[in-house]
Amino acid sequence: MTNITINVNGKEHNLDIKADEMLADVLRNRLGLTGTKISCGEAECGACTVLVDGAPILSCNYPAVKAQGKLVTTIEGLAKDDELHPLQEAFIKQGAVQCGFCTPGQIMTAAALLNEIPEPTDADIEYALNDTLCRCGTYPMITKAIHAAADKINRGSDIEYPSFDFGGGYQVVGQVVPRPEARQKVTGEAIYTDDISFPGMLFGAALRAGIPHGIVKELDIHKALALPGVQAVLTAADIPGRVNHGLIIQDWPALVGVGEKVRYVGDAVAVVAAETWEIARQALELIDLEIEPLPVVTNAVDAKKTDSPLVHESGNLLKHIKVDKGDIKKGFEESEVIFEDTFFTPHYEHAFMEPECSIARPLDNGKIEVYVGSQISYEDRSQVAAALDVPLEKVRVRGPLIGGGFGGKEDIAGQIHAALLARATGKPVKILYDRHESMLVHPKRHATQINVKLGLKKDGTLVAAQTELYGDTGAYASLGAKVMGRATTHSTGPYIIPNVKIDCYAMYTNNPPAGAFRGFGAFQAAFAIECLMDRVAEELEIDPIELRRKNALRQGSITNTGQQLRESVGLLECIEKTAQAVEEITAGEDPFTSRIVPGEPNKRRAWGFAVTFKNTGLGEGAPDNASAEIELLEDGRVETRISSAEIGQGLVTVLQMITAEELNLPLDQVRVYLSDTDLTPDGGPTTASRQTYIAGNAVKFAARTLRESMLATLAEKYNLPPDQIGIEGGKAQVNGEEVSFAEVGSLMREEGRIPKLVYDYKSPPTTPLGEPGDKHFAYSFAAQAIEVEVDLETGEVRVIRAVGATDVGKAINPLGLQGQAEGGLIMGIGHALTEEFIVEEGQVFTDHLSRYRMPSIQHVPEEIRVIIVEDPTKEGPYGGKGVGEISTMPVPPAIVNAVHNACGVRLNRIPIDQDWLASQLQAKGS
Amino acid sequence: MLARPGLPEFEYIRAGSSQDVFDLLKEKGADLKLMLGGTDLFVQMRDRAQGPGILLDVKGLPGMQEIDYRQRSGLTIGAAVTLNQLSTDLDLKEKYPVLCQAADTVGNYQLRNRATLGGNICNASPSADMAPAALVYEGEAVLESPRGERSLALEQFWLGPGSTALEGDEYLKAIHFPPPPPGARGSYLKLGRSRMGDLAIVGVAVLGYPDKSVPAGLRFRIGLNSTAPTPYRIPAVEEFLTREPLTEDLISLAGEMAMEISSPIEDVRATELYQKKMVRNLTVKVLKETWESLR
Repeated sequence: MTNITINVNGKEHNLDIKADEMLADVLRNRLGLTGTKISCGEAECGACTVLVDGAPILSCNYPAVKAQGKLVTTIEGLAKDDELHPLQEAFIKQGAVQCGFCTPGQIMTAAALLNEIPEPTDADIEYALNDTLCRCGTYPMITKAIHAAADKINRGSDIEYPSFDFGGGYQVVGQVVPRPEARQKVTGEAIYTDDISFPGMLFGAALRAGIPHGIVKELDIHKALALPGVQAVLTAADIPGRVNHGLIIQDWPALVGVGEKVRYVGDAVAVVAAETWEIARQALELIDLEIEPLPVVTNAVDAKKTDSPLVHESGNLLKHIKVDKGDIKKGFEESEVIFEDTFFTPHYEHAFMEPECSIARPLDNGKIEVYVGSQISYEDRSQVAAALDVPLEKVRVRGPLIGGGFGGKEDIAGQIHAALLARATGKPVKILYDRHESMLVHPKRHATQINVKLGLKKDGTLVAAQTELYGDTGAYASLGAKVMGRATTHSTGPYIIPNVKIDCYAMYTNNPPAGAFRGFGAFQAAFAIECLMDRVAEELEIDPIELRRKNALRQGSITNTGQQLRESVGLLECIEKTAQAVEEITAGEDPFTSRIVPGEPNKRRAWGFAVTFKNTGLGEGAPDNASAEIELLEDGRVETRISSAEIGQGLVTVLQMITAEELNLPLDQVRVYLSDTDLTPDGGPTTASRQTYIAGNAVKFAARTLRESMLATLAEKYNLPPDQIGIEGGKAQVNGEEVSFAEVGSLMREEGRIPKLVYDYKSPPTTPLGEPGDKHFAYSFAAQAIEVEVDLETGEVRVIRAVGATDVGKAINPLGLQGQAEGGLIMGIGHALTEEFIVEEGQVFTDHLSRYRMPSIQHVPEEIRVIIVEDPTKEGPYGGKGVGEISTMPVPPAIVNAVHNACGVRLNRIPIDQDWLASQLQAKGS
Repeated sequence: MLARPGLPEFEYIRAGSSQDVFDLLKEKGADLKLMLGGTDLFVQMRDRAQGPGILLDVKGLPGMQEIDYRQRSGLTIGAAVTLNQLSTDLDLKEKYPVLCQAADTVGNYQLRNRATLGGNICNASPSADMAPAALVYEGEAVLESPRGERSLALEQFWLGPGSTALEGDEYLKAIHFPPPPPGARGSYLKLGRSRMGDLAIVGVAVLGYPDKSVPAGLRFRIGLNSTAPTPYRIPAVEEFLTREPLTEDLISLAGEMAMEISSPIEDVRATELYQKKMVRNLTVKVLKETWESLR
């Protein structure tokens, strides 16, 4: 132990610490300053940035003993009294806060920058914030916020909200408003799961297989149990209820027992709870584990071969998904030209900034509370209850804030383990993954191989499309069948094609499981079809935009699954608006022709184009419902409750806006409470771009019903027809008098009506594949044009400009929408250029953030134009539909097509490999 | 397997004098690791790649954080000078600009507030970003031991990946650079991987200066990283470029020679052939730029 004195945010602390305690740990665990976040623990991401004697350092990697005698400033020390630092204010107003987990690090780094350079240029900002990572991709808004803060500091200029040329139309809906939780996120007050602790809390950890396929021969926990400080060591035999979990098929053991099979390196075989995290770790090292290895299967195509090792006894095929429309044979016979190619996409890692954390806490009444940042809290409840073999009401799942999800927080992570350990010890147990464990364990994006064959008339009219898809769902099903189902139906693009045949195979392998990830199969499908469409355009000598326009789905079109699109098909408008914007930028030059960069003889630039579509909601026959509760509180404020998750996308804002709109209330009179299975009704999974639509409608109708009930009460009381009662600004107008909401509430209570109700919203029905009817109740559409620069010598590719239009039905929350659109674009750039989750023979190579490069501020294009098309749906709230996923999808094919236009090399796989591209360019040149 | 190995327990000692260092090195030897910024060290320790029981922080030793420039004897950079300190030092920017340029390419801004020149040199990573620049300024490692002080040219200091000529009783005190030749110009160019992290695939530093004693009238020093077990100079190419007045063709030939000499290892990030070609391309590019700036 070393005694140190440090001054943190103006307050002196004298502490006895161990040498291996990092400053971030001391700030968080000893001083309770949980605003400083730990995301990677390896000095890669910048989330833990604090100032030491004014200089920004990465506190996860800075031994606290070194801070002896120094001044430490954390995010909590930035605001003076109650007044926010200009950076904090600017981050809120400019929308530079999404999930919020990286926000403290961004702001602290920016604060150091402004101290050094009061008037930074974009280049200064890029230099200082390089590798202070934001997975939501908020970089453009962060840059704007830093400029706005500098303006305020240097000149006293007010920080304004940005304005957009979309949205509007209502009092609240469509207006630019701040996130309700943004203030907490910029001050460090925001609470994520790991920020919570309880007296006597234990620390849990899991022993992982480390071998991708094998049989557990020996598992001896005696030595671990004997270690002082260890309170429980559990194996499969200790699970009282269902051993397996899984969202659709329960095939994933929470713990693999002796004699059972491990199917990927991340499989857990034992869990430990101990008084400290260090003891838990030591205990794991004392467990004797012997696994007899079995041969592994590591890709979906091999998995389908008859001689492949079997991952599950039932076979490696999770699902064969088929689509048939028209007559494929006749279609190709009638075609004048046929094109075919095979495309490959790798596994991708969500790399949400907040690693998984679960806390389970036994209550005196026999209940277990589980705190977890989950995208599906009700599903967690069922799965935890099944594992514990207790009724559902004995489990309460509560969701603190979530530092990003992108689909990666839908499956079980530590929830069941923590609950088992809490049950065994009778104490609260926290399980926190570090980045390494997170990367190893949770489901990834499916790696795919997609063959596309297109038959067309010479004028470019599509006649037939046949696709064959293989998806690697890894060791366990997760949402694999659904993901590959979406890949299937999106694999022929947003086009009118009379004859279609699709076969898709979702295959088990010994890779980490694959599940939901922004774009959900449709991402992979979009890459394949859009790359081939570009080749078609080139070889048929048709403008690539014209080819899409000609075949684009429009109102009245029949999709490949036989669904007639009756409304809200904004694809043509997206195409036109994107084309216009590109034309404006290129001033009449052909954007798709290669240009030499002036002064850079080895560099070429050109644009590329792609279109896409994405379903809103679960679809294909799955009931898609949400229930919302609304209550008029005694103080006159209104609280909206639903279990849906805020993962950075802005759902709290959207639901607050809708409530305020329907009740004519000021925004600050509406509270939104999410993710609590005891207190919030089931909003369904936060997936499939569905929450704004489904939860939005549930809240809209709940608010309307409350309003009617309030009017009815007043009508009775004042003996007036309800339509003569107005509601405005949080007050009712009756006979020229104002009655506050609080008074209306007490009137209702006096009459024995509790001003609280639940509305169960059921979305329009859909039907399974192969049956007539709608497969989905809405689709969003997008067109994307991207300009790249290719270095002919090194093969490096850089995105210069991006122009994209998305049909969202209605822009309900413009500031959040802009963030989603820009962030989705940046994630798409990462997928195309920098990211690849590499697994070799079942072993994860990319098990550190330093090996998995997500886009940084350097990857932001010089110019981004976000165009929003609002072709409303009849059913969605105010005409809205989904937007969370689509912005990423058209980006990789647009980039790959642009690379071809710039340098003549066609790629059929992402990410673009600079090495391979350079070799192709050299071969071409010589 | 432990998905989360975590930091092993260790003792942290801050050395107050060189005598402290000598005593502890003698007493604890194998279980002790000298530490400067510690930016790489803790990451490695978390992965259990390093597991010393004692970390001896030598950052606070006298002179370790000083930059000392004298016109006659040149530049001495204390081993614990941080890279951000280095890249903003005005003397350095004027006299040794390639060092400043290289410093800016390391990690990120926050990291460079702690990462040190000495640490970058002592890690002996083949891809050390500071190495090519340090080589073209003919840097020497200044080593201190109970036996006294000795200087070793960096080429002799690096023995292989992660391995140096540092004796068991020694520590790196400073890096010394002689005054650069009059009229010297140069630059460092780094090619990273768009995929997977920002380690250099190839880094090339060139320093050129007028020299009337050779037919070319110019001399070039060329330092490379990432493409051999240690960072290296290519004297054969440097000599070749002195033989006759420089032309673009000669520069191209020099690039080819550099490519031949380089010996990169193929890994998941880049093929051997690509790395070799990039040695050629980058060498040609930096040579041309440097030649331009000398004309």
